[in-house]
Amino acid sequence: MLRNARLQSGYRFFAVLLTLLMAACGGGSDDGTVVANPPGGGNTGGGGTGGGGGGGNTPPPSYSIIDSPDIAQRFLSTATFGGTTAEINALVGRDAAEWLAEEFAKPAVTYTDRVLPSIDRFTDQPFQARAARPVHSDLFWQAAIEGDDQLRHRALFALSQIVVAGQSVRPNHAHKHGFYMDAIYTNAFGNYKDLLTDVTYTPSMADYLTYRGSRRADANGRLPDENYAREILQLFSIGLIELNMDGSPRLVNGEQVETYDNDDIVNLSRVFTGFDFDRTQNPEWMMWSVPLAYFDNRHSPEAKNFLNVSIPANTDGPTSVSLAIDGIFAHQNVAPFVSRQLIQRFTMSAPPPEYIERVATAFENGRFEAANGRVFGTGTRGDLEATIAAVLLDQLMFEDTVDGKLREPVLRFLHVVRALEMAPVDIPAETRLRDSSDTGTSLGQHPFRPPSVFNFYRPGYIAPNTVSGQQGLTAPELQIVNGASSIGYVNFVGDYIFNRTPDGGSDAFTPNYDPLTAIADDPATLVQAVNDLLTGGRLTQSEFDDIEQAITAMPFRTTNIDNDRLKRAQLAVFLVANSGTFAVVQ
Amino acid sequence: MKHQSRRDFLRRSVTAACAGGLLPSLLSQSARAADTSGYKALVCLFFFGGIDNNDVLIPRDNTSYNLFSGTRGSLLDAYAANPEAQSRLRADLIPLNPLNSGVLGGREFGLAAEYAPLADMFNAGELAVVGGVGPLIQPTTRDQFNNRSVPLPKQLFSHNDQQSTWMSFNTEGELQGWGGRFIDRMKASDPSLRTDLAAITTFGNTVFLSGAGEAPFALSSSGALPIRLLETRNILGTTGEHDAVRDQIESILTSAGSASENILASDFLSLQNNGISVSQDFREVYEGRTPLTTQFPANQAGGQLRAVAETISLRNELNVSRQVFFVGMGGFDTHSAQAQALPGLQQQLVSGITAFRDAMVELGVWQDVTLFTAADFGRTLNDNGDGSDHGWAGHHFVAGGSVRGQRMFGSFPSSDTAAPDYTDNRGRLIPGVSVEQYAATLGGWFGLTPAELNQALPNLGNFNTSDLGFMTT
Repeated sequence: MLRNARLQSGYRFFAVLLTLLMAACGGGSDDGTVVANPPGGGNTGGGGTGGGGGGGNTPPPSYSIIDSPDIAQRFLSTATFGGTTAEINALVGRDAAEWLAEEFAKPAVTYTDRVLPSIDRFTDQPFQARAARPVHSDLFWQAAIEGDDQLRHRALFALSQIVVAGQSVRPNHAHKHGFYMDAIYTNAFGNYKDLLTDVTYTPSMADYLTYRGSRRADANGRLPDENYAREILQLFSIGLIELNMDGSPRLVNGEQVETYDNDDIVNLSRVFTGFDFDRTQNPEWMMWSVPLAYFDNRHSPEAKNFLNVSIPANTDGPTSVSLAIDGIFAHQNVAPFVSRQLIQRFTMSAPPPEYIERVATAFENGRFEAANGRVFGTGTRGDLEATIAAVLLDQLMFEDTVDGKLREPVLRFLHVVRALEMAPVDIPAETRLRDSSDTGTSLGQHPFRPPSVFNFYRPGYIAPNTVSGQQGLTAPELQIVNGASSIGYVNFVGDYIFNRTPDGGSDAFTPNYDPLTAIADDPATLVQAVNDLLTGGRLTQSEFDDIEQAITAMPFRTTNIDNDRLKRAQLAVFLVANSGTFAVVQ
Repeated sequence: MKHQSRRDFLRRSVTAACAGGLLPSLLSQSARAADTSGYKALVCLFFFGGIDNNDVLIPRDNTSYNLFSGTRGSLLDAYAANPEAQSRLRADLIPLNPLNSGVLGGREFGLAAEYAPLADMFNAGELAVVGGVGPLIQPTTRDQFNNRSVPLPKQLFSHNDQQSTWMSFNTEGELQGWGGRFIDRMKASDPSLRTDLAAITTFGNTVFLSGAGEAPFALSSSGALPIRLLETRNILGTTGEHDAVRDQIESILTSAGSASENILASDFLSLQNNGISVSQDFREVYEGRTPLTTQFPANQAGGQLRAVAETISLRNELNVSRQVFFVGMGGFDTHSAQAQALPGLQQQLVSGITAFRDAMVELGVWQDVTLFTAADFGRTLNDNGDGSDHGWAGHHFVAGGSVRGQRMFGSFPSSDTAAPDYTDNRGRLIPGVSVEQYAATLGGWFGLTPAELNQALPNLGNFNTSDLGFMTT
């Protein structure tokens, strides 16, 4: 039922969908949320704070108990950069909510604290010579592959794709980019409003969206820079059109309603004037690693009237920024706007409206109660712990009837590296991980380096020439899939699988094939093991058969049997890692 | 085995194509169908971020220039302070003296010195300027804009939506662009047209090239690349048995057939594996190309335009008679440090266009190829201190052997932000001609009939002419 309904759930068809669902499901709850009888009862309703009354006195078993390795594999594919066999097995029998609670409790060790020592060692050299590598990026790869705080890094990667300050300019300025990453990383389980505020004060964002140095109007025709005013609204908070809680457009007389017009932009642009580097830092380059400084004589003295916000004339800059972000954050769009994109980054490319509404409700209430009764969040609106818990623990995630998420290349690559137990890895030795952006010769994606503030792909992207496109379903990640990118990905990931990195040299990334070579004598057993490890056993029959056939055709029992076993194992991983099923987490 | 048979298939299709090429299509003789005879290519060079129209075409008569410099004084100071940038002083502009100077009503325009090679192409009759182009539903005045009394394109001033609108006449989420629709209409008139290599992008997926048929082909600026596991024999093994496995692997990587119940998985496979399949086909031909003598600049436009030129050089081998290419450059969202960033980008685009022109002349197809520029939008005439903000209409170049060069078309704005040409006092230019008129003029040359143009361009009928006159007919 849910599956069929979801297939039609492009936003254009939302009204029809809701009607169909209400009729087909024999009625939903009274707030319009349609749920498939949540066993835990109660936590998905409009109020969101209600304790689970629906289940009677004895609570039924929690649906988020992980009762098989396949479910564990799939859950870890959404909440981490991919599970190893040990991690998969350790999760079986546990409630996903408890695993999540442990992740939320892990502390953040800031990027700034970790990148600065790597720079300070060379204080006698000019800055460009010191920054020979993107140390911040190295640390991210390292954390994603070996780190213990997997969920926080998934959240960092996800949120960095909403609040984008791309790192292609001065790519090796680790102290600059690390400070921006910290604004997200340290707030990843905190509050979205704090995150937005902290990011606004990073020199990285101010430089990227050009409000650094923006000044009040003058008699020479100069007016404040409009860039940040526009993008903080369009991309970081409310979007272009008014939304319902379920992410669908709010219609007035059948028409969409634009959230702001150009006058709003002109007014809001005055807020972001008077901010620039804090050049009192010693050494001066530390200005990238501290919040922006404020210069009152450059700030616009005019009143700032936008959205429902009125900031009186002669209000200073920091107060104006605070009032502006309060006002933006108060907009009804923020919860569905952010929730939809977080779902897309973690679990589903085309989330159905009812899922968006459940997550947006957790964002609104700052609270999410898991099926086993564990409560996430502080109760403050914008709480990201509650929001992320709602994304990952939604009942849809424990049904096998949803299409899930098409994973971006970085996630697919990291999953292979982790599942093949390549840790410990030597990132600095691996030259191609300095920038994996190139399409055609590399991954076509590098963390924190999207080509523009519009990220690697758009949340509203509907792919032409596809079935999902015909159905009006969003599939952001398809925006970067084509022949050239695919050859790049196949070659890139293939080099790691066949242990040809870096550039065929040292052992920076060494896969552990022992578990697979031990069973490589029987092709079906081998393929099944790789299937379990990389997809949670989801390969289609024809995918499985094709791969088994290729493995069987490999020369075997020759004079070098160990090598033949290894090649079989490598080829099995290569073919699964390039399958349609592996590309999707479901 | 399968590998071999795929190659055989390609050879057969090339042979058939060469035979077919000798016979003019009967359909193309009909006045009611697109002309698909011979070879023609359109090349879209898109400036992502929105190139500053006020730094493409600069007013040169005294009155206009004084208004211009009065409203972007800080920015002009920044240009003057940058030794890397050419002067924007009136006396240092390269004058444009169009054959049809009457359209300017006595006013004068010039180009910054970064554009000198394009000025040469203009004077040689190979390049035209089209002023004041932008998305419109119907002709629109300042009063109509401010009173919202005519339908307007949605989400003006938003990058992604205006990119989409330029390419497809609708905001983000539209599934077909006019490049793709042109190919669709051609294919409807001439079913024998090869379409898997008719729409080619060197800048990733773009709605501009998407039509109802096959997905556009994405070409890396490094050319068509090999799959290493298939071509580096020692990765897997060097025996004949290994060759057989490699054939199986290639078959798996190029067949989109094993449809999954999961829509995303099957869509992914169809884009990945069809893309790899077409790429492998293309590569077989591409590997046999004759290197171009023309050198392309090593910048973001140069590599892509070289890949386009190389593809055009293989038009006979590939059996394509109509192609639309999409080339992109980023970095034009010059809110800040415009005087430092834009001149370098202008040099890049100019060196790319001139190298492309040289390559087309080298191949003897300059008459058959038209390159045109496009962008999200133009930018504010009024500056923000050291940059410019989002605008609407822009000025664009059209280059090719069939362009009515050394002429200016479209509309040429006042430099007074209070004039009816602008939406507000920041100087956001209202289009004088629509993207659809611009597209229709190119499409007519490409071979589409007026009826087909109307099918591809939904609002074209709202404008008094569908031919702006910049192409020979």
